Amino acid sequence: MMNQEVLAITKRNRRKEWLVLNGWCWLFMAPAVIFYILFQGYPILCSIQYSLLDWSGLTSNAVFVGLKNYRELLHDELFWNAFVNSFRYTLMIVPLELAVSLFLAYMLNDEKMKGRSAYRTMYFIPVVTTASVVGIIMIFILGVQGPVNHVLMTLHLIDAPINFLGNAKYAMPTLVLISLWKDCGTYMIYWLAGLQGVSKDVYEAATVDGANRRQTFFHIVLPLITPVGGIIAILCAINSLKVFDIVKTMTEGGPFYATDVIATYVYRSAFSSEIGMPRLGYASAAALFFGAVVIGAGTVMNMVKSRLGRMHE
Amino acid sequence: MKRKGLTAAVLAGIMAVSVLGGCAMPGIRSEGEPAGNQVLGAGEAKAGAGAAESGPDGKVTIRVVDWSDGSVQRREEFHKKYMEAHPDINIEYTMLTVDQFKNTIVTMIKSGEGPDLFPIPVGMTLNTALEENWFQPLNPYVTEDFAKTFDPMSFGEGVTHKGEDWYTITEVMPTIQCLFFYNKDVLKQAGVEKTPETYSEFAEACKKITEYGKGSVYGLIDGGKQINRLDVMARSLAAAAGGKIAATTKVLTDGGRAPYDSEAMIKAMGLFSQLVQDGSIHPDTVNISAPEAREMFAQGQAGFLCQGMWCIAQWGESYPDLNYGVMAVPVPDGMKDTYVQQGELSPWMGLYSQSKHPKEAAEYLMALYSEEFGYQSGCVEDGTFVSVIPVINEKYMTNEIMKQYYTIANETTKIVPTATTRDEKAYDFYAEVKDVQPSLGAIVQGVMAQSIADYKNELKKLADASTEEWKRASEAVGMDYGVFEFSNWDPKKDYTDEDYKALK
Repeated sequence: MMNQEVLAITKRNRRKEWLVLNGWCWLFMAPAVIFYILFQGYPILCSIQYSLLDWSGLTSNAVFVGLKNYRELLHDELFWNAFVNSFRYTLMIVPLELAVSLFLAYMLNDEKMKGRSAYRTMYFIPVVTTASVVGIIMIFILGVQGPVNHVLMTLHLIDAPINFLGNAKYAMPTLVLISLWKDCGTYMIYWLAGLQGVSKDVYEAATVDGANRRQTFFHIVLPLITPVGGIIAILCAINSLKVFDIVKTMTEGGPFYATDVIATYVYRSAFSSEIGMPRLGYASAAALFFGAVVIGAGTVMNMVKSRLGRMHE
Repeated sequence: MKRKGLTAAVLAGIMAVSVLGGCAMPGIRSEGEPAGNQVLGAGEAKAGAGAAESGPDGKVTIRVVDWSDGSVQRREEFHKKYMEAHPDINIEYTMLTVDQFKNTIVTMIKSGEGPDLFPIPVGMTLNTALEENWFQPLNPYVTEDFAKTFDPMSFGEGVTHKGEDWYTITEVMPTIQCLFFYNKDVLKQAGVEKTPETYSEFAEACKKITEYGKGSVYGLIDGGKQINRLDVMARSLAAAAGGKIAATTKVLTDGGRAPYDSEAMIKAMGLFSQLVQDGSIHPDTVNISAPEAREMFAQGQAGFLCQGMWCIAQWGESYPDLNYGVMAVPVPDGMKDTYVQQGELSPWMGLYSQSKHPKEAAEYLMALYSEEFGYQSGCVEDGTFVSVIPVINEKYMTNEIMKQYYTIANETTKIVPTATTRDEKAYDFYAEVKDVQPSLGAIVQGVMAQSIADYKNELKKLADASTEEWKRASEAVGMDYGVFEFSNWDPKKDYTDEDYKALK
C-alpha cells in the first residue's frame, strides 16, 4: 500500500516535472513557432492553393484549374532551363564555398596569427553588404571598361576585354565567384565554430607525434569536424538553390536565360508580363514543384548517406 | 506520442483555417464558369468609404503612390508648394518601382489601406480595375473647366473613361518612346558627318565610331537587361521597315498571324545581327539597364542610344554640357514613306473607390495638372514629357532638343489601330492572354549576346506560339480572333475613326 502511494507520488512528480519542462520548452520555442507559422507556414499553404489556380495575383477572380499549371510546367523549356541552371549554380558554388571558407577558417583559427580578429571582420564584411549594392558595383567592376579588364589587359593576360556578364559562357561562373566572395564569410564563421570545438590537446598530441600542419589538418582535424561540415554543406546547398538577389541585380537571368535560376523564373512569371497579366498561380506551381524536387533529392541523399554510414560501421 | 500527433493536427488545422479565411485569397470559380460582373456603380463604390476624417493635428492626409521616377524632383517641389498653399493638407507620397507597385498595391487594397490616388498597374486595363472596384469616377469632384483644359486626344474610352464616367488621368501625351539620340562630339571625332537615315548608313556610322573608339567607344548602347527596351526598339525598327506590328504590349495580327517573323521584323533583326558582327554594340549592353546606358552614352562611351524623351531632362540636370541631337528611327535601304507606331494612350492616376478624402484627392489632382503649381510646366520645360494640357506645352516647351524630339515624333509616327477600340471584349482578352517566352525582346537580347545563331527560326517559333496563344485566349473570352486583323490598315496613314467604321 505504502509502495503504491510512493509510486503514485513519484509518477505525479515526474509528470509535473515533464509538464514544467515541456511548458518552458514551448514557451521558448513559441516566438519561433509563431513566426514560422505566420511567415513560412502560411505562405507555403497559400502557395499550394495558388498553384491550383489560374490567377494573376492582381484581380480577385481566380479560376480553379487543378493540376493544369503543373502539367504546363513539364513542357516549359524555360522552366527546365532555370531548373538546370539552379542545380548547375549549386554544383559550382558549394564545393568552392566549403573549401575556401574552411581554408580561411583554419588559417584564422591559429591563435599565433596576429590581427586575426581584423582579418575575420574583413572577410565577414561582404556578408553584411546588401546584395543589390554588391551587384551594382560588380557590374561596374566587371564591365568591359571596368578595372578588372583594365588590370588583365595591363598585365597582358588577355588581348581583348572579357565580357564577364554579357557572354553566356562566362556569366554563370562570374556570378558564382561573386557569390563566393560575398557569402564565404558566413561559412567561415560556421567552420570556425566547428574548429573551436576541437580540443587543443588534440593539436598538442599531433605536434608531439611529429605531424606537420597539413597532416594535422587532413588526418586529425578534418575527420573531427566532418559532422559540422555536413551541416554547413546542407545550409550552403539550400542557400544556393534559393539564390535570387545577386542574379536579379546583376543579370536578370540573362544573357538570354543563361543565368536564369528558379527564383528569377518564379519572380518573372509572378510579377512581370510583356503582354497580358502576370501568372502568380503558375509561378507558385513552379516554386512548389522545384521545392518538392529538392526535398525529394535531399531525402534520397540522406538515405544514401545513412546507408553508407551503416556500411562503414 | 498520441498527444504529439494531436498537437501537430491542431497546429495544421490552425494553419489550414487561417489559409481558408485569409483575407488575401482570391474569389475562386471553376474553369468554364463565367466570371461574375463585379462592377459597382459610383454610389456603391463610395458606400464603404468612411466620412472624411482628419488626423490628430487636424490635417487631412492624402496618400499617393506611383512609379514616376523621371519627375520625382518636380513632384517633391509641387508637394512642398501645395502643402504651403493648403496648410490643412498633408501629402504622403510613395514612389515605388513598377514591380514593387504590382507586388504591394493588391495587398494595400485588400487590407483596406489603399492610397487615395494610385495608377493602374502596367498590363492591367481600366476595365479590369473597375471590375475589381478599385476606382470611383472623378466627375463629381472635378470641375468642368478642369476637364476642358485637357487635350481631347488624352481621353479614351476604356483608357480614361467608361461611358460618361471619367476614371483615370493619363500622365503624359503619348509620344514614341524610341527615337535615336546621337552624341555629336563622338560622331564628329569618328568622322561621321551625316546623321544616318537608313539601316546601312546606321550600321556604317556605328562601325566607324567603334573603329575610332578602339575598345573605349562603341556605335550603339542600350539598356539590354531590360527586355522591354529591346522589344520597343525591335518593334520600331520593324515598323520603319514597313511592318504591320502593334506597339509594345499590344496585339495585332498580319494575315491572321502574329507578325514576329514578318519580312520587316527579319530585316530589323538582321540589322541587330550585323551590328553584333561588326562589334558595334557596346559589350555591356546586355547586362545594363536603361538608366545605366543613358549615363554611359552621356559619358561618351557610345555614339547612339535608343530611348525616349525622359532622357532630355535627366541629361539636362546631370550633363548640361552634353552635345547631342535626336534622329528618326532608321529605315531599310531604298525604303521611303514608312512610319513608326505612335505612342498609345495609357491609363494612369485614378481615385480609390474607398478613399476617405475623395474631394481633397481630386483637388490635389487638379493642382497637379494646373499651371499655377508649376508641376506640368516644370516637367515640360525640363523636357521630361509632353503635357496633356496643350496650353502648358505652348508656353513652356522651350527646350530645343525636346522640340526637335516632338517634331520628329510627329513627322515619323502614325496612329495604329487598337483591338480594344474595335471590340470591348479585347479587354478581357488582355486579362486572359499569357506571355509567350522567349519574347521578342529576349530574342533581341539573345542576338546581341550571340546566344542565338538562327534568329529566323526563333522568330518563327515565337510567331507560331503567339498565334496559337492569341487564338486560345480569344476563344476563352468569346471573342472573334479576327478582331486583331485590320484589313484596311495602311501603316503609312493614321488609323482613324472612319477606318474603324469602314471595317464594320
